[in-house]
Amino acid sequence: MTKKRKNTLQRYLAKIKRKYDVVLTEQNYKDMILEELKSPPSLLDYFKDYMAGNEDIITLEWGCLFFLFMKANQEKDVSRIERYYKLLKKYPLNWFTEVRVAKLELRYYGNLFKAKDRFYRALKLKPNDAYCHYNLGLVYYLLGVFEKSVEHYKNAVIHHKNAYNPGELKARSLFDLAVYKINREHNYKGAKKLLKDALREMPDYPQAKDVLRQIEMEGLK
Amino acid sequence: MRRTKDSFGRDKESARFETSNYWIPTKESADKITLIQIECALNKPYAPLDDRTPFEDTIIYKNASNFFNMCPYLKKIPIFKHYQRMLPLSDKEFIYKSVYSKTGGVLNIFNPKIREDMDNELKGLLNEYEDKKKAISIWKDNPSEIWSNLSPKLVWAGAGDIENQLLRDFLEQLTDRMEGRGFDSEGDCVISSITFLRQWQFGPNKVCFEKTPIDTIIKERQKIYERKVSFLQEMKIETDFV
Repeated sequence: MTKKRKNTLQRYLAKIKRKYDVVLTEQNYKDMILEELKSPPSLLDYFKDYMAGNEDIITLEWGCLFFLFMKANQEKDVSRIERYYKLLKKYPLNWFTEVRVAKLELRYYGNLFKAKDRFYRALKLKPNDAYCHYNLGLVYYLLGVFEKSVEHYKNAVIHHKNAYNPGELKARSLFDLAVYKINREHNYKGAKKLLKDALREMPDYPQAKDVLRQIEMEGLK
Repeated sequence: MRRTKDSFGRDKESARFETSNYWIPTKESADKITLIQIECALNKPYAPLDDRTPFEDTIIYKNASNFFNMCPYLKKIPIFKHYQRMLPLSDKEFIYKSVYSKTGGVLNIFNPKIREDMDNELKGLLNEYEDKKKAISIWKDNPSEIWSNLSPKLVWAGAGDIENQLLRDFLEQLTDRMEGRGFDSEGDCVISSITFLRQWQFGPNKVCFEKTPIDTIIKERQKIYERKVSFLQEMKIETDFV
């Protein structure tokens, strides 16, 4: 390792100690990161595989950068998320950073095309990932490509168990499918069923309750 | 709130479209609204042009002087350069790449500027077919992800008078819905606007006699496309869009 890289690494370690009171070492950095990523189990498994598959490539420096990325994400600090994402680019891509940056493109910048490409990239890294399918469903809806939107929402429902909040993700996907049934197909009966299913998953879901109430009040079929 | 009626053709002096009366989420979309207006104006037949559209008249005479003589005030307004750029003054108008200079109309009002390298459908077809012409002939008819499911040929054809009225209706409704609301970020603001657009495009609308904007827009663009194709054939001009 060059002197410059050593200094950079020391800087990262000092920052992590100072800001988060965590001491990362060659011996503990993988365990410390896995501890942060223990839920849902599928995420933990994904990172165990990622670390094993890239054992010769990832280093303590990767550990520091990834740790700082996770913290920036928890703190919703956009410029730091982007900075650490760029610094992590020299290491193999991983699902976690890709979806976080994809979400940023979508929710912070409103850039649908970049968000779509990034969610696809994340889906390649973690096939059948419900979170990516849900977001692709949303992106395609916003792009006005409804058949693909429906396809992704349906996949999100199928694979919801691997998500961080499985019940919520399933409920939101069902709600969006119901909205499609109402807007596009004027199929209120089908929408009602989807909304009831959504409320079974997430009983406290105000939008689903409102739409269901509206359909029932107006006697729409 | 003051609303400005655009009455291009009926009262030429008020042909400018004022976006300042509407709530518009980004500067990029405000600029696009102006371009959509121009696109609509260039597809409309005018009596002083012998019922030709400015698009047709410019091709016949290889310059736009008839159109600009008809509306001399256009030369004095800041958006004059956009009119010049959007009129078919070169053969580039007839090749497939010209679609990327079109607006996509009201359905694409919040989309960023589209570049050819964003067109995955075209890339896929060019990889699949050795014959580029064959690939383009399939591509032009297929609904496209980068244009809210409009086909490239309908994007190339451009917007018309009814879409212009629908644009205004949408902006009025968007303004009523969004004005005064706070947003967490630009993304939040854009997503809220697009969500409203997608809802609006499927709702029955008084502008198109209770039909949906999406169906009406497609129908009108198809008519504009057919008129353009038949005109170009008459002029013996080849285009990738036929």
